[in-house]
Amino acid sequence: MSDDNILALLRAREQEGLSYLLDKYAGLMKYIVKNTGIENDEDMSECISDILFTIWKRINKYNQAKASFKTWIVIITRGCAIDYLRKYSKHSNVISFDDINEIPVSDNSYLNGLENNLLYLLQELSPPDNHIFYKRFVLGESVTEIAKDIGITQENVYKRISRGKEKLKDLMKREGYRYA
Amino acid sequence: MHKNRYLDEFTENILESDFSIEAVMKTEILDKTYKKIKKNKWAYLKSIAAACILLVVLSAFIPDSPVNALCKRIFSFIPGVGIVQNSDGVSQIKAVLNEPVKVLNGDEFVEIKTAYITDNTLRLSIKTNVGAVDAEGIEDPVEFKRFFAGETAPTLYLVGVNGKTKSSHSVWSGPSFETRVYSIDVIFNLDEESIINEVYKFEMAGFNKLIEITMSSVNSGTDPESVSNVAVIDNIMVFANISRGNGILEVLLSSVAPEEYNDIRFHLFDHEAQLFNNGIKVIDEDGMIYMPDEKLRENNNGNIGSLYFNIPDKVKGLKLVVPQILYNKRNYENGIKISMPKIEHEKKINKKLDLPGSNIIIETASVVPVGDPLLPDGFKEFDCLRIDAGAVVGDNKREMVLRVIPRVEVPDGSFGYNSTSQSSYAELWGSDQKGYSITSFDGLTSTKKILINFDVEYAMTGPWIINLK
Repeated sequence: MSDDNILALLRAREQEGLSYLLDKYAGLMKYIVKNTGIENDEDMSECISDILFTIWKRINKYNQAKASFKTWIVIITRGCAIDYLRKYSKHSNVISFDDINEIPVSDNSYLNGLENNLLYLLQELSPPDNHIFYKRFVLGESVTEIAKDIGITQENVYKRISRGKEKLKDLMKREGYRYA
Repeated sequence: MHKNRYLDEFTENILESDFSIEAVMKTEILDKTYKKIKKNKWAYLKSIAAACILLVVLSAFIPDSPVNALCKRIFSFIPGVGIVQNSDGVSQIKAVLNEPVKVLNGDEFVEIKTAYITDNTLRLSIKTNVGAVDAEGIEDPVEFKRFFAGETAPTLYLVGVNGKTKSSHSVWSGPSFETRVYSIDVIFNLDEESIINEVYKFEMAGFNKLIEITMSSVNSGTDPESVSNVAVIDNIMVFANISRGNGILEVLLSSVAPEEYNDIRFHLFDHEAQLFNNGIKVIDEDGMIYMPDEKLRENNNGNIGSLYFNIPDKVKGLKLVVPQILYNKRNYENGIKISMPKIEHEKKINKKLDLPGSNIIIETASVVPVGDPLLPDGFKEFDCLRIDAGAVVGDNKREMVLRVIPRVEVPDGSFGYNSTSQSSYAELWGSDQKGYSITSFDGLTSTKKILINFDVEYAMTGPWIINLK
C-alpha cells in the first residue's frame, strides 16, 4: 500500500492503517530500534508498539512540506527508540543521539523540536558528509558498520560526523536554536 | 529556505525489502498498540459519564454551590437514562441508548449497555462471547492475540436500508479465558439520513440474530436541580446504575468532580483495606449486611466500579453504605526545585505543596545510601531519594492524605527538566498525617538539580448512606 493511502487511513483514524504501516515499515523500524540498543524481542515489540502509538497520536502533526512520510516515520522511530531506552534501560552501553547533546532527545522536546525545527535542519545537512551523519544518528548505525559499508576508516567516519555536527550547529545558530 | 530535502533523499534510498520482521511479532505489536489506543481513548471517554437511574438523593443539591455550578456547566440530562457530561473537547451528544439490550442465541450473547451519538458518529460498547465460545485454538496465545487484535474476531455491521456497513473503528478488549467474554468498543460513521433514526439494527458475523437498539434524543441544558437519583458527597457527585434480578443486585458506580480530583474510586485495594475497616456495603431494612461478591465481579468482567451483591429479590429497604471515597490530586506544574542532597545530609525544604485546598508541607529531602535497612526490598541496591512530608488537617476534616508520591525530573541539558525512569515507594500515612517516600531513579548520583512534582492520594471518610429504591 502506498504511503499516501496509509496516511489517509491514519488520518481517518482507521486502525487498519497501522497494520499496513507495520507491513511496510516494521523491518525498517526494527533495524533502527535494534541499532539504538534494544535487542530482546519483548522490548523490541513494546518499543515498536510505542512508535505506532506515537504515530497514531501525532499523525495530524505530520507536515508533508517538511519531510516525506517515510522520513517522518524514521525520525519518530529513532526518537521513540531513544526514549524507550532512556525510560526502561538502566544499564546500556548504547551510543545514541545523546552523543550530540545539543539536540534535545527526550519525550516531548525531542518530537516537538523535530516537528518544529530540527527536521528542517536535518533536511538541510548537505553532501558529502550528510549521508554518514544520517546513517549514524538517524538510523543509529555503528561507526564500525558505517566504515565497513562506505569503505573508509573509522577515524574518517568520526571526522565526517564531527563535520556534520558542526554544520548542524551552524544551522541551529542560524535558526536561533539554543544548544549547550 | 528549507528547499533542500537531503534527508528525504537519504531515506528514499533505504529499501524496506532489505529488512524483515516475523509475523508473530507483528501481531504482538499491533495487539499492544491497539490496547494503548483503547486505553488512551477511554481516558478521553472517561470524561463522558452516563449513569444513574434508581438512586435517591440524600445529599440534596445546594443552589449556587460549586458542585451545582459544575453541573450546570457540564451536564445534560437524559430523561429515563441519566446524565451525560458534555465538557470541552467532547462533541455534543445527540442521542443515547434507551435501555440496555441483550440478545441471546444458544450459548452466545451480545449485550449493549452503552450507546450514544455525537455529531455523525454512533458509538457502542458491547459485551459478547460471539466467536470466542467455540473458537478453535484460542488457547494458543498467538491465536488468542489475533482474536483480540481483531484479526479473527467477528465483525459488527450496521444494517441499513442501503445494506450493511462495517464498523469504521473497533477496539477489542476483555478478555477472559474462563468465560470467553470480551468487550468491543465500536464506532460507526452515520450518514445524514441515519442520524435521525431512533432504531438501529446490527449483525455480527457468526451470530444469527439481529441486534436492535432504540435511541432517545438528549434534552440538553436541563438544570441539574431537576435530576434525581444522584448523591453529592462534598465536591464529588456519585451516580449509580442499579439492576436487580435472580438474587443479584448490580450497582455500577460512577462519579464526577472538579478537575483536580483524579481516579475517584470506592474500591479498597489490599494495602488500603488494612487502614480502613469498612468497604462499601448494602444494608437491608432488617439490618442485614451484604458485602460485594468479588468473584461475581470477576465472572462478569466488571471493573472496580461495578459491585455485585447476593441479595434475594424479595428483600426490601436496601441502603448503600459508602464508608469512604479515594482519589488523587496531582501537582505537575509548579513542582519544587532543589539541589540534590548529599548522602546522609538532610536538606530542609519546608514548602507548601501547590494543590487546591492542600495543607501539605514538603519538609525535607535526603539520600538514603545503598543497603540501608530503611530501604524496602527492590530499592536496597540503589542510593535512594527520601522525601518527608506532613499535612495539617484543614477545614475539610473528612479528607485525609493517604500518601505523597514524588515524580522526579532531571535537567535535560537544554530546555529544562524531563522525567526520568524511576520507582517510588511510600507507606500509607496514619492519623498523624506524616510520612515519607523513597525513590530511586536513573542518574541519581550524578544529578545536581532536580524538579519534584507530586501525586497525592487522598481518602474522604463518611459514611454516606444512600437509599436504594
